[in-house]
Amino acid sequence: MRLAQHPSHQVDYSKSLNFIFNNKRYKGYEGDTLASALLANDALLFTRSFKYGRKRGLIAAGVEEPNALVSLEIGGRYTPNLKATEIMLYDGLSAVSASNPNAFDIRAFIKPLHRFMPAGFYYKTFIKQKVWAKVEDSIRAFSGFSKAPTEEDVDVYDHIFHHAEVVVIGGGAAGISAALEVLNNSKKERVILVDERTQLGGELFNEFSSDEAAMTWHKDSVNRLLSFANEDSERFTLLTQSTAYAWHDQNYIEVLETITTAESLTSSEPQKARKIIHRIRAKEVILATGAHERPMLFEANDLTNIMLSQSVRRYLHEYGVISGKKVVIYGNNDSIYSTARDLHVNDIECIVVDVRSSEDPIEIVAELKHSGVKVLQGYSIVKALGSHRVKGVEIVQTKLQGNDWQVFGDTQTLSCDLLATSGGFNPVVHLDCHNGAKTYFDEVSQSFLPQQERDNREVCGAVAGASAWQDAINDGKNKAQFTLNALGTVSKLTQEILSENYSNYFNVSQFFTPKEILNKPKVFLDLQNDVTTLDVALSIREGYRSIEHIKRYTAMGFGTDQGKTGNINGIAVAAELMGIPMSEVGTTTFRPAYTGVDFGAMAGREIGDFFDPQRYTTIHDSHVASGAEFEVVGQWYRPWYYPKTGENIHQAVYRECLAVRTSLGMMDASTLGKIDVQGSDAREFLSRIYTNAWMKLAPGSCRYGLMCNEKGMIIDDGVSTCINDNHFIMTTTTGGAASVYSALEMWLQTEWSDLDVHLNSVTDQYSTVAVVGPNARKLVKLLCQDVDFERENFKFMQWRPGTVCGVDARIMRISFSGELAYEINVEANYGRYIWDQVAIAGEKWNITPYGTESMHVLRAEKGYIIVGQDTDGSMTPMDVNMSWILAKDKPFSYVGRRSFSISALCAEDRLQLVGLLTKDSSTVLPEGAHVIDNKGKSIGYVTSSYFSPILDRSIAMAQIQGGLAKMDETVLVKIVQKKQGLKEIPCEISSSVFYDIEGEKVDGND
Amino acid sequence: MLLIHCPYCKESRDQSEFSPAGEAFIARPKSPEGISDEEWADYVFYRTNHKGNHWEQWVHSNGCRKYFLVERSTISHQILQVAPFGARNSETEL
Amino acid sequence: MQKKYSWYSLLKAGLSGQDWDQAIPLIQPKSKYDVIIIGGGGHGLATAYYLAKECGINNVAVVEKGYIGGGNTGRNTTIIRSNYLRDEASSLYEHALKLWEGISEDLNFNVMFSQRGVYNLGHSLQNMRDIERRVNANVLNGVDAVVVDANEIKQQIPIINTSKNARYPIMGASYQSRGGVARHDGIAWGFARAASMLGVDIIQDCEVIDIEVEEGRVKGVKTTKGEIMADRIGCVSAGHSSVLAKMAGLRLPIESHPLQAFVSEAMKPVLHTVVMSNAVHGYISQSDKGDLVIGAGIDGYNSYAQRGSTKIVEHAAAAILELFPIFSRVRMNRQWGGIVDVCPDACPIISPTNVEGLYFNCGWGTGGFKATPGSGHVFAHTIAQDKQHPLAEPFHIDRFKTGALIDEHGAAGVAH
Repeated sequence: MRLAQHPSHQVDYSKSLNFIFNNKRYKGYEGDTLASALLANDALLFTRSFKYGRKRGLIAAGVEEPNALVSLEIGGRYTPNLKATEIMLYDGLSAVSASNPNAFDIRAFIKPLHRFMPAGFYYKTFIKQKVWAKVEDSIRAFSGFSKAPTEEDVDVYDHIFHHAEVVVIGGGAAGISAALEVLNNSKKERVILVDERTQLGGELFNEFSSDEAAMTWHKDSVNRLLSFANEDSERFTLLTQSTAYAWHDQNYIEVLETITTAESLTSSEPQKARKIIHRIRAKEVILATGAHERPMLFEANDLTNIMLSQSVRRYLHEYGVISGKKVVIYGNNDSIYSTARDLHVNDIECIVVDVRSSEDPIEIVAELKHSGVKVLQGYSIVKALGSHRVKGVEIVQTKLQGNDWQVFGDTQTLSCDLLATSGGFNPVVHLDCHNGAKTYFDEVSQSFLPQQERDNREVCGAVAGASAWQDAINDGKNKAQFTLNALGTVSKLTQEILSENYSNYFNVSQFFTPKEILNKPKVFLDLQNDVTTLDVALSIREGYRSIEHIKRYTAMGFGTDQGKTGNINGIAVAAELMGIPMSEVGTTTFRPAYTGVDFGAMAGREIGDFFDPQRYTTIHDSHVASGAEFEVVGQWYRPWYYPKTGENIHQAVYRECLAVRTSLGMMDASTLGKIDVQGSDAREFLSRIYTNAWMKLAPGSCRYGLMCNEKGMIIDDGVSTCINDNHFIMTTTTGGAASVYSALEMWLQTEWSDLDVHLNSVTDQYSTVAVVGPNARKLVKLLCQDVDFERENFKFMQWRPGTVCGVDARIMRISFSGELAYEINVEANYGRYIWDQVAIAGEKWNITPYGTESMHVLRAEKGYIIVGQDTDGSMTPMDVNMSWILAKDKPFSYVGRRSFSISALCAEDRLQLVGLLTKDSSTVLPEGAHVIDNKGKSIGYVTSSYFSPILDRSIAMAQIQGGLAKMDETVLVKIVQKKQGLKEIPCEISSSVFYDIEGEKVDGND
Repeated sequence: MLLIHCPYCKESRDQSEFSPAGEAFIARPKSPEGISDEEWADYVFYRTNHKGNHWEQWVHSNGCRKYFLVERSTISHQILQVAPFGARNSETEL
Repeated sequence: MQKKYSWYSLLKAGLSGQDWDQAIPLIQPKSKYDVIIIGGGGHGLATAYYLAKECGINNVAVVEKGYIGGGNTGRNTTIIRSNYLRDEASSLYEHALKLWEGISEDLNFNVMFSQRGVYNLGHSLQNMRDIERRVNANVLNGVDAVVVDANEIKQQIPIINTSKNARYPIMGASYQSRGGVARHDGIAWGFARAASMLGVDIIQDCEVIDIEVEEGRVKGVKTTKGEIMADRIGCVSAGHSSVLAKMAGLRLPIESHPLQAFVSEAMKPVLHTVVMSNAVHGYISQSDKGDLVIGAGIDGYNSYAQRGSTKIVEHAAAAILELFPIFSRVRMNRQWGGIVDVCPDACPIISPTNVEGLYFNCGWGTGGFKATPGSGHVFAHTIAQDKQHPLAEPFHIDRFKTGALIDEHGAAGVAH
C-alpha cells in the first residue's frame, strides 16, 4: 500500500500513470518503478520458481532482485526477463510475469516428488542416450524465464567513446563526494560519474527522514554536480540510468545507458537510441559501487513478502510504499534498527528479532524499546510460516558460543504479514574483479572486500566497507585525494577521519549458519534457481567441493541476478559444512556483465548495412543500369553476370563467354588489389616475394607472379607492372589485397629494413576496364590515339601510357582469358566515364559486359587457376603444375622456397591440379564432388567445373592424388548427395588447358 | 581492450587501431638452404609462447602502418614497454 | 550409500536423505604412479579413464592445478560434430562422436549429449563450394552430412534471417544431424567419477611446478603437493601446454590465445539446433537451461589471462543479430574467456616427444571439446603402448618437420 502523503523523494504524486500487469489494470505515479507501483497496489506475486514452481514476490528494490522477472510490451518492443525493479513506470506500460504465478504449474503439483529430485538429478537419470533424446525436449520446455521475442527490434543503439582522467562509478554518498572532490581540486581533468539509477543518491535517501543533515548534504552536493555538468560540460559528464557493466584491460570501462522514455516507447518511429554503450578509457577509476544486502537463512525463507530490510526501507522512503501492516524485522546487524525506527515513525507495527545477544546495548535499541517497539535480542527465526505469503515466523533463542551458533529453548510464534531481513552486506566488487583483481575475506565486516591496493584505482564507501553515510562521504573525499595525487594535481594529501569501527559500522555478526537450519529443507540460497542449503550439502558430500563446482553442480548464482544477494550466503554455508574458513572457500569468478546488456546494444549500429563495409567500384551504377546480378567477394560487390530479360545465369554466361571469344567483351577489374611498389630495391623485393625472376623485367613490361608463404603454399597471384626501374605496380586477388599488403609490409619492416622499398595500397585509386576479345585492338584504337597498338609494337605482357577519351591512362596488354585484351587503368573517378565510353564505342562489335562467372569459365578454358578456389592454402606451385614459375638461380632464397624440399611437399601422391573431362561431354560435374579410387575412397575433388560454350562441352579442374602422372587415365567422380542424383561419372584426367592450347588467340584480330 | 602506445605516432591509442603480428625476435634464417628441416620448422612453426612478459610485434594498421615491438604480460595484459623496430633484436639486448 | 545411478538408486536416496557416495573423492597423492596425467580437464580425465578401463593401467594420477573441468572444458560452447574436411581429422572426430553416442551409459552418468544437429552456414559462392567439398568428403568417409539450401534452413529454423538482402546472405549450409551439444561439466565429472571408481586418483589443487627429466627420460613431477614419480607422463593441459613443455626443456608449435563466449539470460526454448557461421564469426545454440550460448572468435595476440577484447565479443553479438534479428532485446548475462592452444594447421598434436615417457596431447585450438572422449581414448592407447594409436598417427608432432600438415583450415577459402 501507499502511505498517504509520505514525502517521497522519487515519486511525483501529481502525475498518475496507468499500466497493465498480467492483464490487470493498475495505477502508479511518475517516478515509480514497476515493482514499487505493484507493491503500492498490493500486487505481491510475481513469479513461479524455476524448479519447484513456488510462488514468489519481490525481495529487493534494485538490480539484485532475483524473483520479479517480467517481459515488457509486445511486438518489436517485446523485451524478455526484465526485473520489475529496474523498469521505470510510464503511462500505458504493459508487462507480464516471466512465469505466471497464478497459472497452474506442474512443478508445484509434483511437490511430493521433489525429494527425489536432488541437485544433480539429471546427471543421474535418463542415462540411456535414446531415452535422453526422447525426454530432453519435454524437460527443456520447463526451462527459461520469459518467452523469446518474435519480432525484429524497432529500436536502435549507439556507441559513444569517452576519454577521462577520472571515472567515478556509483553515485551514492561516496561517489558524489569523490566526484566533487576531484572537480573542486582540479582544473582541466575530465571526470565522468556513472550511476545506474535515475537520481543520484544511492542509499542516502533512506537517511533523509531521520537525519536532516543527510538531506541537506545531498541537495547541496547534487546541485553542485549538476552545475558542473551544465556549466563545465567539457570537464564533467554525468551519466544516470547508466550501469558500468564491465571493466576491461587498461581501464576500459563499458557503461550501458538507458535512454528510452515513455514517448519513444509509444511512438511508431524510432527517434533516438534506446540504449547507448559508453566506452570510457579512464586514467583513474574510483569505485563507489556500494553493497548489496544479503538475506538471513531459515526454513521457507522464500515465501512472498519476505524482503530485504534495506529494500523495505527504500520502498518506504523513495516511493512511500510498504507491503505489510505488521512487520517482523530480522537480522544480524544494527541496520535492522534503522528499518524499525523508520517503520515505527510511520505508525507501522513492527517487531525486531536480532540473532545477536544484547551484550553491547546501542542507543537506538533503547529508543525503540522506549517507544514501544518489541525487540528480541538473542533470538533467531528458524522458519517462516504461511503457504504462499508469509503469515508469521517461528523463533528460538540463539547464542554464539565460540564460533558456533547455538539454538535452544522453546519455539515461539510471531505473526506478521511482512518479514524484512538483513544478514549483512556484500560489497559490489564485481567490476573490480573483471580484469583479474582478487577479493579477500574480511573477518571484521564478514564480507569479501576488494583487493586493497591496485594501480589507478581507488575504492570508497560501502564497497570498501565504509557503510555509514558520513563515513562514505569522507572516504570518497579521501580516496579522491589519492586519485588527484596520482594524477599529479594534488601533492599534499588532506584526509578526513572516519569513525572508529567504520568498516563494521553495523556490527554484522558472523554468518548465522547453525546446522539446525542448514539441515532443514527449503532454506533457499538462490531464489532464482531454487538452490537450497541441502543442495550445497549434497554437492559437497558427493565431492564437488570447490566453490566453482558447487556453483556448477547446484546452479547457485547462475541466474540473471548472478547471485548478488545469495551467493555469499552459499559460500558461508559451504564453509560451515566443510569446516574451513570462508577465505579458503573463496568466491566464484566475477565476470562481465554486472547486469544484462542487450545484444542490440552490444552490436550498436554495426548490423544490417553497417555489419561490414560494402565496397563498390566507381562503375557500379553502370552495372546496376545494365541489370547485373552481384557476387560478394571480400567486401566488394562484383558483377556476377548480366542477365538480359528472361535469361537465367547459364544462358547469360553462355552468351557472355561466346561474345568474348568471338568478338568483344568488357569487364570491370577495378576490385583487384593494387599495390604501388617504389624504391631502388623494388626489383630485389619482388624477387624475394614472388617465386619467379624480376631483375630483368624491362620498363614497359608486365609479368605474372605467384606468391607463397614460408610453408611453401600458394597464397596469391597477379600481374606486376614495371613502370620504371624503381617503380612497380603489383596486382593481387580481390580478396587477398589486404592480407598481401600487410604481409609485404611485415617483410619489409621486420626482416628487410635494409631494402629501399616503399609500399602503398592504391586499389581504390584506380579503376580498371578490361576490353577483351579478338576485336579489342580495333576498339582501343578508336578510343586512344596516342598509343601505337600494332601487335609488334605493343606486345602481350606490355603496357603503355596513353590518353583514353581524354583521360590519362595506363593500358596493360594482359589477359585472363587467353584472348587479346587491354586493361585500361584510369584515376578512379573516371572509371564510369571510361566504362560508358567503351560500351558506346564497342557497340559495332556488339561489346558485351561480363561478370565473374564468365570470367571463371574463360580462365578455366585456359587452365588459369583461381587462388582460393583451385588452391586452398595447402597447394604448392608444383601441385598446380606451375614448376615453370620457380626461378632456379635467384641468389636470395625467396619466400617459401626452402619448404619445397621438405619430404611431404615432394611426395608423389600429393593432391595435384589437373583437368578433368567427363566422358559424356554434356555432363557438368558438381564442384566439390570427389574423385574416387577403385575402393571408393576419395583421391581428390573437383575445384572448378563449367560448361564451356566455345568448346561446346563441360570442363573441370580437380585436385587428384598424383594427378599429374595420371594423364589420360579414367577415374570416377562419385555423386553422393541424393539431391544431385546418386551416380558415378566416368572422366578422363587431362591437361587443364582446354582451349587454344597453342596460345594463338592472344594477338586477336587486326 | 588494450591501450597501446605507438612509438612512431607517439600516442596511446585503442587496440582497435592495431593488429597483433606474432612473437618478436623470430629472425628468418640467413641461409635457409643451409639449415636442416628441423631448424627450418623451428623458424616457421615453433614458438616460445611465453607465460609472463612477452615480446611481440604489433602493427599500427589503422594508423601509421608501422610495425613495432611491444613487451606485454600475457598474464595481466599490462604493457611494459614499446620499441621501434631495430631498437633491439632479442629479449635481453637493450 | 548409493553408488550406481539409476531410477532405483534415486528412489532409495530420496527416501534416505540423499545418501549418495562420493563421485570425486578428496585424495592426497601417492609418491609414485605408473602414469601421471597433467591436467584434469575432459581430455585428461578421459585419458585416465581409458587407461584404467581399456589398457589395464589403474595406477594413474590426474593432477589438476585448480578444480577439474575448470579450464577449457568448462569454458566452451559445447558443440559436438565430426564433419571435418580432411580424412585424418574427420576419422578422429567421428571416433569421438561415436564414443559420445554411448558415453552416458558407459560412464553411468548423463552428460546430456543432445543430438540436435549442427548447421555450418555458407554465405558466399566459395563458402558453398567448400561446403560441398566437405560434405561429399564426409559422406564418403561414412560421416553423416548433407548440404541444405536457404529455404530448407528457413523451414527448420523459422527464426533465422535468410533474406537475400542481408549483408552476407545465407546461401546454404552443411547439416550434421548427429551433431549437437552436451553438458560440459557433465563430461568432466562423468569421466572423473568413472575413473575414480576404477582406481584412478584425481588430485585437485595440485599444480605441477616442474617436470623432472633425467638422461632423456621423465622421472616424475614436482607439484604444490610434493613430488610424484612416474615413468610415463601425459600432458593434457590445453592453453598451458607450452608452459609444461618448457619445464621438460621442449618447445611446441603452439600459441595460446584468448577465446571468448557469452550467454544470454535464460528464455523459453526458441532455438532447437546449433548454428555456426565462420563467415560472419558467430555460433549459437540454446542450452537446456534456456540461455543462448554464443561463441566468438579468437584474439590475435597471445594470452594466458582468460579474457579477450571486447570488439570480438561485440562483433559476435552483431553476427548473431545478422542471423537472428529477433534477439536484439535479449540480454547478455555473462561473458568469459578460455585459453586455447592453437596449432599452425588447426589440428591437434597427439604425440610422444623427444623426452622418453613424455607425451603431449594439445593444440586442439578452438574445437577440443567435441573430441573429448576420442582424444582421451587414442591418447590412453598411445601412452599405454608407447606407440601411437592408428587414429593418432597423423597427429604426430614430427609433421611440422616433414611438412605432412593436415591443414584443416586450408579449406577456409581465399576470395578472388
